[in-house]
Amino acid sequence: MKNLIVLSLIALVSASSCKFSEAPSAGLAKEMCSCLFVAEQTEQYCRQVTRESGILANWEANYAKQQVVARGMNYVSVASMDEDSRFGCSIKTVNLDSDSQDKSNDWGNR
Amino acid sequence: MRSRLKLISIVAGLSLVLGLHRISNAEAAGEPDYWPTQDWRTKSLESAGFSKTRFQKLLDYVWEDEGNHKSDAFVVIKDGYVVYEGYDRGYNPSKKHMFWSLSKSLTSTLIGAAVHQGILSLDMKAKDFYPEMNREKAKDVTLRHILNMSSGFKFYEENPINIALSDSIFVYYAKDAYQDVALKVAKTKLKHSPDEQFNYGTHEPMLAMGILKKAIGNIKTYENFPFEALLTPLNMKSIVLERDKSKTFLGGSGGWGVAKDFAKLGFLMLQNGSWEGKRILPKNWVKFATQTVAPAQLRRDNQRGQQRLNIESYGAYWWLNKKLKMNKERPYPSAPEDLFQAMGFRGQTMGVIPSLGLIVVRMGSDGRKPKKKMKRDKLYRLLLASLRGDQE
Repeated sequence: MKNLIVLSLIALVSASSCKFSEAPSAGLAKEMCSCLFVAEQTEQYCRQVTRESGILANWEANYAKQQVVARGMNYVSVASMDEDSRFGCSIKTVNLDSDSQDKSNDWGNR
Repeated sequence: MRSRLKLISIVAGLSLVLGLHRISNAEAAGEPDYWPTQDWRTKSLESAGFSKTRFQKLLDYVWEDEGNHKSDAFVVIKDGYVVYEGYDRGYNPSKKHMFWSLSKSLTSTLIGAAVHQGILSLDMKAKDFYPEMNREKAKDVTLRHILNMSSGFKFYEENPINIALSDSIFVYYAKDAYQDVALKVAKTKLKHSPDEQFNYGTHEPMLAMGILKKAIGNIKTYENFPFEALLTPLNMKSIVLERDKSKTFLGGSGGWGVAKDFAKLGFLMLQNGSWEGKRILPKNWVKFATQTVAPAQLRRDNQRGQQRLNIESYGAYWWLNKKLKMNKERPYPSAPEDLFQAMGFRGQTMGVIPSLGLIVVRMGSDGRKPKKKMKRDKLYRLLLASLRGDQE
């Protein structure tokens, strides 16, 4: 039991200090942008993909801008369609998410 | 003496003419019935030599119920004619599907087109485009090594413990990567000397596309290159090629399109790199990319300690069906040795069998567990059984 607690603490510290903790939000923003605006799938279908992949992030789409904003693990990332549709979506920004830090990582409840 | 010389020159001249005629006939014999540039023509299964009842067994497998693998699109082409196409799970002939690593084979072909146009050569050094690689081991990496997945980078395509920690994810999405993925690769440490160890990964085609960008030197020309050199001549109009923030094509993934458009890439390979009389790839490119095992896979040191991904034989961003020394049989024993494939995550597959004039494209959304994946060898076994018309 003691070992389990120690291992859990190590895992928690590793996860929170992981230098790649931006990957879930960046990946989700990009892939959901492509899902919606390149593959032209429904939002329901794309959300199902998110659920299946178990990514620790959440996202919202802006259809007018053909853009997806994703938040997770203290990062916020934005991906959008290129003006030239031959090039699909790409990640535009990846930043620390002060908003999610204030809210104690409650994305799972949103 | 003069008349003898005259006779010799007449005979020589005739031989030359006849010889040239023979060559031109040989080339003509390789021409397809038609070019599927506008669209593929269709044929019935029976007229193309398939047993309809046997073929149904293949379809039963491809479209089996949810809970196992998940097929989205399935197309079979024989001698240039579509003999079957089917779609499911919301897909249709015009709905774009993610290629995943099928994109690598597209990248290979684009690099081939650049070599044909004199923009690149296989023995160019990566350091001449990325000075970051002017260091120990990395300075010797050539485009050939990059195409053979043998540069030696320390890169783990799939983390064996947790896929979410794979380098293939960070190389796209990490903060220091997404802005310029090829530069991120160029800065990566090398674990081996070039050509010493085969290591399949999405990083190598990323670097290949970065080198192409630098070799072209003009961003507008670069972004139009895939379309002008390949996609427009073949009329692969559904294809989308995604890029990073610096506008470098992702190369290892990021391709989208419909199954019948991707099949045109297979048809180009069957025509040895020519399309409607115009050469798109160098004459020896198809052999190099689809029938020649990466030299690093043939090394003695490679026969032990192979990673799972390294077991299958590999050419230049195409998977081959050659038996490696370390294996008891070919990767796909049910298929002929000349089979070559584009393959991607979640069961994306395009298999090309030149000896049978066959192209098969299967796009899917398979899960990660073995029982959730379509078995490619089983697909080939059922397909070829239906073509042979085995006992019903």
